[in-house]
Amino acid sequence: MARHITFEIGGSQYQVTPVKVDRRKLYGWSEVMALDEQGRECDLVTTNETGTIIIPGGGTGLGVMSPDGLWVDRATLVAVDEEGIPAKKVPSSYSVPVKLDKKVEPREFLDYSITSFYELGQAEELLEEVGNDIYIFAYSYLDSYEPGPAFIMRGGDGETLFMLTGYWNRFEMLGLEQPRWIDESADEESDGDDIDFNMFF
Amino acid sequence: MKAIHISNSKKRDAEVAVDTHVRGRTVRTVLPDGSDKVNVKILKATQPYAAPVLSARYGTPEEMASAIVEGDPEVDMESAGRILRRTHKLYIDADGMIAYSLSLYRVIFDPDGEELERRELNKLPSNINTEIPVGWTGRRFSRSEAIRRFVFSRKYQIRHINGVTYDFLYNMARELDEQDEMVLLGAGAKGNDPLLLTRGGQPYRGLLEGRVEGENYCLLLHLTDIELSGLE
Repeated sequence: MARHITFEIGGSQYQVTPVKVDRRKLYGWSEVMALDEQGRECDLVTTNETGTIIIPGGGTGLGVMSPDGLWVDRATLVAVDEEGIPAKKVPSSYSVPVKLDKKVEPREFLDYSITSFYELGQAEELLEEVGNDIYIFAYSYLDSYEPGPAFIMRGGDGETLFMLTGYWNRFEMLGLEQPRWIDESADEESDGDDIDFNMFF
Repeated sequence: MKAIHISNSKKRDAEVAVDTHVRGRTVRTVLPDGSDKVNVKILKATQPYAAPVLSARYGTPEEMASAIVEGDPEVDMESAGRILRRTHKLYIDADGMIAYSLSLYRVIFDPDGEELERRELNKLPSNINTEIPVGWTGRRFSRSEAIRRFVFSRKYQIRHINGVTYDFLYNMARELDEQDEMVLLGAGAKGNDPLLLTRGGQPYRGLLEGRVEGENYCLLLHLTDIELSGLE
């Protein structure tokens, strides 16, 4: 069932239904298929370092250990901010009204990478209220210690309202004395697209 | 740090660095005593104990389910729980054996999931650091227009590697910042190919944005593979 989110702006509340825009639904997608000599489809699997153990999809997981090599129950971990102060758990954006009271300029918006975006249906009044501004707020699908940045803004057609979620990037203003060196071996490194998401379950 | 061979609006080119590790985090998790945790990758299952193998052994899903409830036939007691350091990828055939002779295809699907095309896989090499520099196309967008038209999912910072390339990149950033514009970059002989940052990777359209504050600059490569549009 579609979840509703309530935005509060200018003293009024607007309930909208975010619909995720999936690249696959717009453009389609591609997959790599491997066939053996008999034309039978093959599966991509993982092996351990020595190649002696074949690991099927979903056969790896992520664990947490202490520096001295003891297993740590994930439930005992503590979320802290950059100063090491325990972070506060914030409620899901779908369970409490979200106040839109902070705007950003396009240049600041460009500091963020966008990982997902949602079309906000039935949002004509909110569209009018937002106008040409870009609102930023802390978004969390579930109750979370680390809500991510999200934005509300009109699309290029001026008629569609979008919610965009992503993460902040740490860009630096560079001076002459801050050169970097090129690592020739980095040119063909993986761009990290082959994460097995079953690891997280 | 990767290299990018890039040219400016006057078609002067240089090889410079591109920083791909720019993601910032504000919250992290630590051990109860405040010390840092160590993340490890562990082995959960092995191929001889995978669902298709068990399914073939027990015949029906009901019998397989009963066997799993009664015992632990899906757990490789010798290997499960091991810490994995480096891993490798390979293909296995329908019999669960390593496939040494393969034909690889790229299969294209339309938005409804119908197969449109199947062609031999050709992993194109990265094109951002070749003899032909990545260059400015004639397409420019104001920042405000670009962010409402494209969804930028990846961002990289371009950095100088010496004094000469500092001037080169600073001037590029200043030119764009003064006009509040972003320029579409293109690769390849015709200068209009999308950017491939890794071999066989996803092609992206890249827009360059510059910022200048005094003697400092920030030149950013914003990558997009989707327009900001609704589903209708």
